[in-house]
Amino acid sequence: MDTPKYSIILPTYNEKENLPICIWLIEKYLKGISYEIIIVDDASPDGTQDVAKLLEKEYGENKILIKPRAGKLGLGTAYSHGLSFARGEFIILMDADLSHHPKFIPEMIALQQKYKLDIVTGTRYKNGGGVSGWDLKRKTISKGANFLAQFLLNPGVSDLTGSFRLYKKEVLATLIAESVSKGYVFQMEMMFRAKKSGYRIGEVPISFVDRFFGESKLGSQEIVDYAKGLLYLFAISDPAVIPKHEDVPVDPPKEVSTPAGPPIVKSNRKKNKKTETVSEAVLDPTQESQQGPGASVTITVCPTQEDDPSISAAKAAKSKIKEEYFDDQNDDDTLACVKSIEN
Amino acid sequence: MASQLIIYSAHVVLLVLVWLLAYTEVVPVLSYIPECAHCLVYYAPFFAVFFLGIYAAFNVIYGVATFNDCAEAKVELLQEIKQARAELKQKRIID
Repeated sequence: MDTPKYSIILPTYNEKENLPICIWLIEKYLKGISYEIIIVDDASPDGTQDVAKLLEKEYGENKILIKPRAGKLGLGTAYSHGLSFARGEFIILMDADLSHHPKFIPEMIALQQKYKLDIVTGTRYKNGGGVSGWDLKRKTISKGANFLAQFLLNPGVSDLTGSFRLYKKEVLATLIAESVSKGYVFQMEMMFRAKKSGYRIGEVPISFVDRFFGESKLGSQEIVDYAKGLLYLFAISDPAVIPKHEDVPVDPPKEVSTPAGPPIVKSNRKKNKKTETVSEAVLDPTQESQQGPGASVTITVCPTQEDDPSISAAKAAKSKIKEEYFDDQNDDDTLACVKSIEN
Repeated sequence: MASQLIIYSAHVVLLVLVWLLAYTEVVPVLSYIPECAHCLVYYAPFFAVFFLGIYAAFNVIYGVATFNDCAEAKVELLQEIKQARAELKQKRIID
């Protein structure tokens, strides 16, 4: 059982109490499944990394990988960071605070295998899925927000903001590269884009135990951010991540919010259907470490060369058009990527 | 592929066009409708928005009423946490 088939990425921040229990639960419910857990800790001050090291000693270095980061850099970059170390064919994203129960992971795996799906998402709103610990106000806000999202975006999944999902590795890499939002709008954007790109998506009902009932995690700022995120997704001109017209030059993705030191994710839109090459391409951890925290991190997803010479000749012609476009943009990384296709 | 905005705008424009045709009597729909129903046609957009609001409200109310409050999930989780903590304490992972 050397190379695991499933990689579970756990972004953590101050989860010293919950992390060992979460890992214990994963171990309990995933017996017989080949998996690894990648803990992406954002320099938690409460000693989460020390607990993680103890867990690594207990469960083995093949099963638990600790990949910390220098500071609180956000969820999207935590996912890409974890993704660059993932050895599995499938990636499972979940929260480490015990609101997502690992017992649903085998159900997701079974559904994926049965229908050959690209993405399996946990839903709290359908088929027996539910939430424990929400008062009436919270439920109303949640249902109202969900109705709005369904009405405006027609996303085809019942729970758009959920973050308990299983992805094929290449699919996740593509979606992360294309999505520019922050926080939970990031989750919405990935699912929205996935649906519009035609990926096969399945749903598994989950029970979400919100441990923070009583303490209201939903302030007016969050509602405003949600509305802004919805409007952004409503107005995206080309949500599909696999482009239909390859010779159309691509608009650079817009940024929704402006935190300090935003990671800028640019992508070379020229991806082909052979998306297994995307995962081999560089989501480069060394790039991140060379720049200091707060600097912008550019992640370029670069498809590798096709073997057929006639196709590569056609691509060279197309990429010349792109090179001129990107020359104006003065984007060194994308230019290098395009040049490598040309050669 | 068009954005959702464009798709929705196209639908709205189409519906507004149809309504305008009836309103300005380019299509003589009004001659076939009894007098009392004329105001229905004239104020159709308002009715549309109104019924959309009713639909939204009912959707949310129904959703909240049928909301699945999985209380047993919380109980089960607390149980498992207890079990986990006992085992982890044994393995000296938590104090």
